[in-house]
Amino acid sequence: MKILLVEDNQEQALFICKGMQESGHCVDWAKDGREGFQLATQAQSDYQLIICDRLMPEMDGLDMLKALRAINLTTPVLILSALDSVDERVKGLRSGGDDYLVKPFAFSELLARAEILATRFAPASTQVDNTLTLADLELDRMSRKANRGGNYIELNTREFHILEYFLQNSGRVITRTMLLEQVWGHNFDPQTNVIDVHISRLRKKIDLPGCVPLLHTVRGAGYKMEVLE
Amino acid sequence: MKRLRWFRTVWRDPFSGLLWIYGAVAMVFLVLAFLLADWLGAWYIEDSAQLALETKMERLEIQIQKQLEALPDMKETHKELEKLLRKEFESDKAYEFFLSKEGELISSMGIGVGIVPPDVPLLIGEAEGLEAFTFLHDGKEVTLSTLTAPLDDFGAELTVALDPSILSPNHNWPAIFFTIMAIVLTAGLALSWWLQQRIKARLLDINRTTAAIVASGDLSQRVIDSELSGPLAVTVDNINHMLGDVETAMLSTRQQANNIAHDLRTPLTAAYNQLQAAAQQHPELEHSEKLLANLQNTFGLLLQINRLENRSELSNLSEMDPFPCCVDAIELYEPVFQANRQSLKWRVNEPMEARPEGLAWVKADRALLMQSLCNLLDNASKYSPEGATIHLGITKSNGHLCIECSNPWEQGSSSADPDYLQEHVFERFFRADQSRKEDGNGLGLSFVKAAVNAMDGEVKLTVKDGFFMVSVCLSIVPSPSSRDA
Repeated sequence: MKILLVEDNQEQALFICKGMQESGHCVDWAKDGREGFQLATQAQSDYQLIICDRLMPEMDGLDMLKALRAINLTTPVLILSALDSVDERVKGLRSGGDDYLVKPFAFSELLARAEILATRFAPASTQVDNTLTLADLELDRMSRKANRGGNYIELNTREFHILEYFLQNSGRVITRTMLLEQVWGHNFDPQTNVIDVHISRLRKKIDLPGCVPLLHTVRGAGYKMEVLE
Repeated sequence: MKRLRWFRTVWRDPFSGLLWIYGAVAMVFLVLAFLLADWLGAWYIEDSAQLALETKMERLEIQIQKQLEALPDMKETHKELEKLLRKEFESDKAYEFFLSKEGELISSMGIGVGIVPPDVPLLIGEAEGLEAFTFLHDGKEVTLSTLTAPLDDFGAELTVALDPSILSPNHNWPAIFFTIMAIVLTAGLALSWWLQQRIKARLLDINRTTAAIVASGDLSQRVIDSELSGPLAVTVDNINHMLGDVETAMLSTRQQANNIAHDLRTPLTAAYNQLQAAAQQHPELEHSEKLLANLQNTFGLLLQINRLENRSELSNLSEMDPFPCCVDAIELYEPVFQANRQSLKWRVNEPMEARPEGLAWVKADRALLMQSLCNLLDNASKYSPEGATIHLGITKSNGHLCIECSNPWEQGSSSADPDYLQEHVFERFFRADQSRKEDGNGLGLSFVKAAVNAMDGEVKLTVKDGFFMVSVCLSIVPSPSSRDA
């Protein structure tokens, strides 16, 4: 994935670049909004994601974002910001941002959000698959029924949404805050183990004894649903 | 006592006090104008009549003296004297003349001619002063003011009479004075009342604006200063200027807080990310990573509480149904209670899927309410023993809808007594001994209080009968169904 990072703090920028490159992504770094705008609008630029800091010299992150949207650039934008109030979050998203990550954040959170955001906006086939599968796990989105190896799994509404989100993003890390945002619609960190308890309950239903485990904990990041080789 | 208090109140209010005093003076003048004007007018008229009679008497005496010098024989009879008096009467019919001798009327000239006055004053030596007598004229009683003087040369007395009523229509100056004074004072009273209303309106504007600022924390509001001049306009200008300064200072503080947040958060992120990366290589750093993560959370929560308390993070208040929030919070935390072998009871006797009949709507911010309820449920689970039952309920109290979360509490488990808890539990970093055993930063209830206050609500703590209950009370607003009805 080709990413444009617009960040004025050199230390932060170098760390993100290094981390993204280690995760197999290609990153270009712009030191301020003006440079970021130039790079993003160059004819040969084909970024799949723009990560931009909110407060920057010369051209503010939001100003750059508004300018990009004004020329109909649809590349998904993830805003990094130290401003965490609801107002600022809303302002960021209304200016054309697609996701808003508040500092301080864990790199794993940034990586997980970046990968999912880029995938969400990638050109997809028009065919909507009503059945999501991973190994022998199947989830029918129409009937809202799940089974593993043909054995019916009883899920409540919330468990269904959690499993659906995992299967849609199988192989990618899902953080706790992402789950809280996407499944429950809350934008705050409860700072408790409440999500872990829900995942534990779901895991007990999916990863039955004797089955290949599918739902894995990623230390310091969150969870991932995949078949480990 | 009540009267004394009323006087004290009036006296201490410069505007009302002045008006009351002015009103009292105006009333006194009005009463005087009505009660004393007639008496004073009569006195003035009589005084004027006496002056006129004396003047007329002097003039007559001079004429009689001149006539006597020209006709010394006229002393013998009264013919010439009567002729002179008639001539005088013809020239000015306002006066009447009576000639008498030893108490007997000899002749008279005037409106009373042919009508005998009921009483003619005795004429002795010098002029006796003003006397009055009444007689009938055209069927009406007429009272004349009189002045009598002896005519020694004729051995008779001359009485000059004047009807004082002819003076009154044009010469009632005291009555006119009092009436004008009363009108002026009454007009002044009306003007003062109008001025006072204007002053009061401006003061009420100031009070309203300042009260609105206190209630909403919105410093952009200003006192209206239209059509004002003088000291009150200066006061309004000064207040507006001061509000402007406070607003600028607040915005500057917020900007500084944002800058601090930005300046600290970026290096914190870098440090945390590097520590996280290092911890993957060196597992012994995992504890430090966890500590830094907790520090970040505490820092973030402190900033949020601070913003809520100084209203720099204005909550998005709207009229909302609190029930879905309660359901969401319970649904989110139910597995936690189950995992801790606790149970949660919904105190409204309805299944969770059904909304209680007639449940009111509240003015709140959905995100803040949800976060507050999560904090309460998390605390309740954390500080209750295994097997405990936690209750969540909704009650109505004094125009507020209170969401109550209660969990079992044993006094022996904490060194803090209920009174101490009630006083300090919402303070930042407060942790009763009982809570020290558990993870936490002591900011949960501080956040709940700041969030509920930002929603114009109230948080209460009740510790009794072995239960620790936190109530989040929010203002009730009419629900859409009740509005439609």
